[in-house]
Amino acid sequence: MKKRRMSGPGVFLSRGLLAVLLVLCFLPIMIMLNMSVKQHVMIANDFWGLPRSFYWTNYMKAWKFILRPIMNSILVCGISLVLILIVVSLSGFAFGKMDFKGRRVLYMLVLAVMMIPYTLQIIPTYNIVSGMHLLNTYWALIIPYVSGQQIFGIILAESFYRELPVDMFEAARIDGAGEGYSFLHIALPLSKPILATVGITSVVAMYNDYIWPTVAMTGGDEIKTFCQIVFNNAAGKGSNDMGLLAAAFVIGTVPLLIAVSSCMKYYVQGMIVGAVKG
Amino acid sequence: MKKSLGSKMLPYLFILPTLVLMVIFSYYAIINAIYTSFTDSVYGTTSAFVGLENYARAFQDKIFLTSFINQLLLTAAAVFNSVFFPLLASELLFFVKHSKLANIIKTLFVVPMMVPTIITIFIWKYLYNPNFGINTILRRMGLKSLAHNWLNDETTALLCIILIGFPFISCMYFLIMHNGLNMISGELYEAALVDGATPMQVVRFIHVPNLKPYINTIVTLSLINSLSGFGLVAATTNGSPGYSTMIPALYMYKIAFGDGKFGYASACGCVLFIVIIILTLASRKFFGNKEGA
Repeated sequence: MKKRRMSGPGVFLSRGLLAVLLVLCFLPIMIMLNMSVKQHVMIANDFWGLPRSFYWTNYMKAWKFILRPIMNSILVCGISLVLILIVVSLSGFAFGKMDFKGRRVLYMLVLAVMMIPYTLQIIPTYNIVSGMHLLNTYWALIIPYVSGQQIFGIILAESFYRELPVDMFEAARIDGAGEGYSFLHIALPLSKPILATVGITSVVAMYNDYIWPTVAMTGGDEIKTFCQIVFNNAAGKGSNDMGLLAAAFVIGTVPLLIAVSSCMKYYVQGMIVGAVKG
Repeated sequence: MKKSLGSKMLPYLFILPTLVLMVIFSYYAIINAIYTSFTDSVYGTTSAFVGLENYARAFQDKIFLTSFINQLLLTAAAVFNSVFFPLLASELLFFVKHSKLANIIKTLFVVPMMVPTIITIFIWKYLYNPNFGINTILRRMGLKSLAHNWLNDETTALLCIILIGFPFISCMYFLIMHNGLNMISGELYEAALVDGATPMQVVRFIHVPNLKPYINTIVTLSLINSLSGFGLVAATTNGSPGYSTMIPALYMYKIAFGDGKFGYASACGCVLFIVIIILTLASRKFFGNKEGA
């Protein structure tokens, strides 16, 4: 298995191609980092050139105006994450390990939601959230996010709980434990990996979203999320200072970078499992 | 063993939050969308029943109809890019001998995924800027005549949107493909080597046929992703210049939250929904992987 025969120009060519692809993948990041330490004028005149001196003022200025949106994003993602994990573990366990009337029909209803495209939901969700008088509050993002993200999570959790050996729960039942106890003390501790997978995929999706916030958060800038602010800027609203923006981009990437790299294993797994199940 | 009423109710208590959210935000929502499509609702406030008027209008709306052609081009390109480049990268990686090095390269391919999508799009917009970015390179190479306002030119705008994210490797499709490639039994590969197969033959006759379920999954996923999203176009050209990059979902969004015509927008949304359902079912039929594969 270890011996992979390749020789001559073939090796050289394929290694070269791999290197080129890798560089191209990193190009946006490198451009962003390079821009973030240059002054606006320098970027416009010499886009590709490396900075002659580091202009850290960009970061100082960016920090001031981007901190609030980033905190908003983190707050929304954090509250949503907790709620998603609660809802997903409860429903996943009920569908995967509990026996009750109508289980199959109800689970089919959960699966069927996967067919509804995001686009079609925007207008009615706006109507509903507006009817609840929640527009321009954090809940305008949190509630639809929990509702949307739970589906994928339940599908993952259901199959995880279903595949847990029955004996474990039988033993607990003989010892007189109720199903609530089994859930809290047996199933939940075991499901940490699957919940990490659900959590990290949800957080990435929520942090990245800028369409729904643009619809639901039309009021003041103080409650807007990070990606929404960047999107508004792309649409021509806000600062034109490219150095400042690039610095803000770098700062705004950090939370996602920390979240994903700390759950890297689960993130990669979530992508693969999610794809195969979906 | 007879269960108490409490333990009988417990499962329903467990799924209650899910059901409440699902009934309101999915099932009521879709009924609401269909109902709204038969009204002249403006921002969801006033609404009178107008029958099929919105649908009749949608099928005569030139912008709406041509936006499907743009969507078709974008989707075809997206599906191709989601299969070809991840496959290329996975194959190149497969033939890297040192497993440690291969692992490092794989991780490196994942890193750019952590940059928020909107930022990557923004950086690409800088590259397409009329005054710098790609144009700087063209000018230095003496190809001044090629330099122009990429995103503001009807002939290049759509192509430029398609190329955003090149080389399309830092995405979940690469992870799926790479995973699939490593799932192929080493015995097949060994046997091919004994028979003196070249790397190209290994790829052609062992990898690609065995990767089929993964390729099919990627086709279906990227198809749905591309059809249902409009964030990319919204953040780059917003449908301009003219309507040369307009796509149905973005059109719907702009009618709804630009003009406030929720009724008409919902009708456009419902037409798009039906198209997505048909295409999804068709792709499941042609490319669908077996249940739980």
